[in-house]
Amino acid sequence: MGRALVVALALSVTACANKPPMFLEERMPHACRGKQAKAECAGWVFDRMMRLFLTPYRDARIAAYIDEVGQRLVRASGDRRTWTFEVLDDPEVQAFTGLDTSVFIHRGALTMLRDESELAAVLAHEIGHVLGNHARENLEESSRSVYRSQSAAFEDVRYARDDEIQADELAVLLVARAGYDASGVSRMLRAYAVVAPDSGGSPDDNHPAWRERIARVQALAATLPGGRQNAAHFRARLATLVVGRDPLAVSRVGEAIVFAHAGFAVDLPPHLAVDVDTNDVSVQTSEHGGFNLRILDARVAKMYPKQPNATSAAEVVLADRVALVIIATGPDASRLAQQVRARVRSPRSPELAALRPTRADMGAPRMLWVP
Amino acid sequence: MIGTVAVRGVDSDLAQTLRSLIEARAGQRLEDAPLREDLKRMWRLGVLADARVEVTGDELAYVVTPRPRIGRVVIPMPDPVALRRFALLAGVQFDPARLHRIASATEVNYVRAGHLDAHVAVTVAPRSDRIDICVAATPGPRVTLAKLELAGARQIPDDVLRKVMHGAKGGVNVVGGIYDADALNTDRIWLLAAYFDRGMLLAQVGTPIVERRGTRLAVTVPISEGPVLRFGTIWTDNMPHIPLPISRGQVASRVRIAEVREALATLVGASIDVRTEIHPEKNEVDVGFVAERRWPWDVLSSWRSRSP
Repeated sequence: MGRALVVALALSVTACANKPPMFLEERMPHACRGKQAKAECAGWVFDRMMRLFLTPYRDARIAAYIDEVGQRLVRASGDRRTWTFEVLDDPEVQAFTGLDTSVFIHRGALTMLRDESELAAVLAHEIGHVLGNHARENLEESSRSVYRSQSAAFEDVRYARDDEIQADELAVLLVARAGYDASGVSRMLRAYAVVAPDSGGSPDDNHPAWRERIARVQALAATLPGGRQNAAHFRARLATLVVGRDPLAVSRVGEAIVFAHAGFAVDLPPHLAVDVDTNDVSVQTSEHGGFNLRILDARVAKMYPKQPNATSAAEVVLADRVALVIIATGPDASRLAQQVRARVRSPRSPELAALRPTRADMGAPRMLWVP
Repeated sequence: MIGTVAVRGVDSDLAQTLRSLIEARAGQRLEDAPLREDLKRMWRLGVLADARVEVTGDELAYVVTPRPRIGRVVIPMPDPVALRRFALLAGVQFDPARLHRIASATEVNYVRAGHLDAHVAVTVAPRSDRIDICVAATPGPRVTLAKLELAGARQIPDDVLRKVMHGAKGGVNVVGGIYDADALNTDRIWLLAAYFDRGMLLAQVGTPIVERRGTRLAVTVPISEGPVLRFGTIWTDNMPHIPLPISRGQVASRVRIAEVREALATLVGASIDVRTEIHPEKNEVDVGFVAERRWPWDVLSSWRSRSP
C-alpha cells in the first residue's frame, strides 16, 4: 500500500478536534492530528491496516510471554513509544516489523529457538530495524514511483545489507542491556541459517552472508558481560506451542471443513476435489467453477463486495471478531456462494476431538549452522 | 611442514568462525599454504583491525585483533531521520568501510529528497580503548524543478510522453518537484520505447541538459525523433513457411515485432532471434525471424518432451 494512500486514509479520518480521532477502534496518535499528517501517522495507520490481514496465534499465554520479553527490550532501548509484539499463526520461520512500532513473529520462528536470550535476540533484531528507521526509508523510496539504474539498485542492496548488520548489532546491545546472554544472538542466527541458506552471493540478496553476520555479532558479544539464558523458563512458557500446520486453524474432518479456532464448519457435498492450505480451502465443484473458504478479520470481511467481478461472488458469515468469507467462481457463482453459505454451522464436539495439534518439543536437540 | 593451525586473539566462538575460513591445513608445507588468501577472507568479514601470521616451530598461528568499539557519536546538527543510523553506532565495532557506506547512503537519501548539494563527512578520533566519531551533515538547500522540457518531440504529444515517465505520483521529475537524475536517465529507456512502438526506430533520447539557478533547475531532454520506418523485406529461417501478421509497408512497430516473435516461438517450439537491417534512405527496415532449432527434428523432440 503506497505511502500516499496510507496518508490519504489517515487524513480522511482526521477531524479538526482537540482529541485525535479513532481508527479501527483505536485512538490515533497526536501525529495524525490536523491536516499535516506526519510520517509517524502514516506508519501507525499502515501497521493497523496490515494487522487486519494477518492471523494472530490464539494462545494467550504465549502471546503474553512474547510481549513481556519484547517490552523488556523496549525498556532497555530507552524508546518511549508504545510497542506491540504479536505472534502470528504461521508455521514458516519469519519475523518482521511494520512501519511503526509493531513487531510480528511467526510461531514457526519460535520453534527454532531454545532459550529466552535467543527469543530476545529475534525481537531485538526487529526492534533494531524500527529504531534505525529502515522500513520507513524503504517506503519513502518506493513512494517516489521511479525506476532506478542497475548501479543505483545495486548500491541500494549494499545499503540494505548494512541495515541488516545494524539490526544485528543493535540486537546484541539490547539483549545485553536487558540482562540476557548476548551470545544468544549468534545462536539465533546459527539456528535460522540452517533453514535459510545463503543465496550464493546473489547481487539481489539484501542480507549479508551468514558467516559475516555471525562473525560480527560474535565479535561484539565477546566485549559484553554475560547474562541469563532462562532456558527452563522459556521451555515452560512455550510448552503449548504448536509445530507445523495447526489442525485447529483449518482441517478436513470427514465431509466437513472445520475452522475450529474461528468456530465455523462447512459441510461439503461428497466427491469434490478439496485442497486444504495453511489458512484457507479451495474446492472445485465443476470444470470451471468452485469456491474458496477463508477466515478473515471481521472488519476486513465487511468490505468484501458481494460481486467482486463478473465471474465471482462472495458471501460473508460474521462471528464476533472474525468472519468466514466464501468466494465462489464460475458461471453460477452467486448461487454457489449462497448454497455454500447455507451449509455453514458450528463445529461439533466429535470433530473438535479429532483435531490434535502437534506440540513443539522446545528442549529437543536442533541443528545449528556450523562455520 | 605445518603441524597445527591456531587462531589467537579472540574468544572461542569467533575463533571457530574464523577457523572455518582457513584453508591452510596441518600436513601442508608452509610455502604451499594459502596464507594470503586466508587472511583476505578473514579481513572481508569486517570484524578485524589486524590479522597476521606467526610461525613457531610447526605451529601456524593466525594472530588477530578485533576492531575496537565506537565510543561517543557526536552529531553537531542532528537530523532525526537521516542521521539516526549514526547515533545507533555507539557501542558497536568500528568499521571504517561501513561508516563510509552509511555516509554515502545518507547522502543518497538527502539527494533523493531534493537536497542535491548534500554532503556527509565522518571524522574519527581514536582513544585508548575506543574510537569516537563525529558526523557532520550539510544537506544544503532543497532544489526543485522549474522546467522539464522534452525538446524535439513533435510526432508524439508531450502529454503522451510524460505519461510513460515515472515519478509524477511521487513528485519526482515534474515541475515543482524533485529532480532525480538517476530516475530520469532510466526513463530515457521508456521514452525510447514509446518511439520504437510507433515505428520511429532511429529515435534518440539524449542525456538531459541541466541548468541551475540557485534552488531552481531547468532540465532539457533532447529528442531526435527521426522518420517513421516501415517494414521492408520480412523473412524467416529454420522454420516452415508460416503466414505472418505483418507485411511490407506497415509501420515497423517494436510491439508488432515482439508479438510476432512470441507467436512464432510458441508455434515453432523454439526461441526466435530477431534480425533487423535498417535502410534509412528508404525509411525501411528488413526484419528476419530465425528459429534457433532445426526444423523439424528438434521441434518434434521438444513437442514429444512436452506431451504428458
